[in-house]
Amino acid sequence: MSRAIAMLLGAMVAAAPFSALAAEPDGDEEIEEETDLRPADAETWSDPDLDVDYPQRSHLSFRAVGGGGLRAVHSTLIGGAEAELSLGADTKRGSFLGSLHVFGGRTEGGLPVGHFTFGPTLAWQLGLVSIGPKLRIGYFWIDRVTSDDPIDALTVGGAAALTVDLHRNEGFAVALNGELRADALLPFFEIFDDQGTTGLWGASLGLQIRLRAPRRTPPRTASVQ
Amino acid sequence: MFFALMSIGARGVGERELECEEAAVRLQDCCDDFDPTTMSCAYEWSCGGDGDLEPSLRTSTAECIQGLSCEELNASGVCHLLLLMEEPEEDEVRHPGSLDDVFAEVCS
Repeated sequence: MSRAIAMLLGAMVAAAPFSALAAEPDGDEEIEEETDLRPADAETWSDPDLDVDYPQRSHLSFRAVGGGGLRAVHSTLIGGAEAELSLGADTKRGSFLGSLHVFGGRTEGGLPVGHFTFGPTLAWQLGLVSIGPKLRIGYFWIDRVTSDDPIDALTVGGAAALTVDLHRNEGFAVALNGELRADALLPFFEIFDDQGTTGLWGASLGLQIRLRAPRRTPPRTASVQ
Repeated sequence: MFFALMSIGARGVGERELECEEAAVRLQDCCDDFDPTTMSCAYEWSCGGDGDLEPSLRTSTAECIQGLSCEELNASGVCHLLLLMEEPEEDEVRHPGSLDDVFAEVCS
């Protein structure tokens, strides 16, 4: 899992130059070739798509969510903290991202619990509100006190997310994030045994930070004639 | 990555296993010197049933234990019986039997 997070962070670092380049105008010749804008226009051009619901051109998008959540498996309640990192694109048809999600907590009795998942995240913005599904596969475990082997399962499921923007400016947004989630806990070796197959239900509440990277050049349709 | 997850060999989350582990935590918290590793909460299923292994507590017994206070567990004497169970089965008269037997009276 740490390797996957490192890869995600690596991808973010690789994307950082796109943001930095937005603040630096290209040479005069390149600007004239691409946009027909005079240098002064290019220097003052700022991406108008940064804060709209659906940008005309695709933008690199990064999202991070942190918060707390409850889970229920059989009759046992689990409380814990969770975090999710997503990287993808905001497009004119919605946002499409790949995500890594981590949950850590304890059962009512105090047994440590972990759950990590990954999968696609989709989101559609409707003004201040965003909704979208998440599909996830992953691994869930509960540590035992009677032995070192955990109670564990593969998970297949998803979540429905709702966010409400608290702040949005220049591609940076902070939102309240709520989710309802459901996963099937599947045994691998005893897949036909009813004993180990069950559902994991949950709800989460947290804060979301969104970053939409600006494009370095104006769209061609914005050329000055 | 999914196949990497499959290779972990997850066995699923059984209700009886989970309730048994939760009960073991309760006993560990309430009964001094009780070693939860002397209990078995594992469930293993095998073709033909020869190697079947079941948790040593029934679900109803495990739920009962979780509902008892430390005072109730100590006053009922079950903590003392649990320590006796950890000893070798030399004295059949004194040995309390299975875990479900130990809690039969308290949870009846």
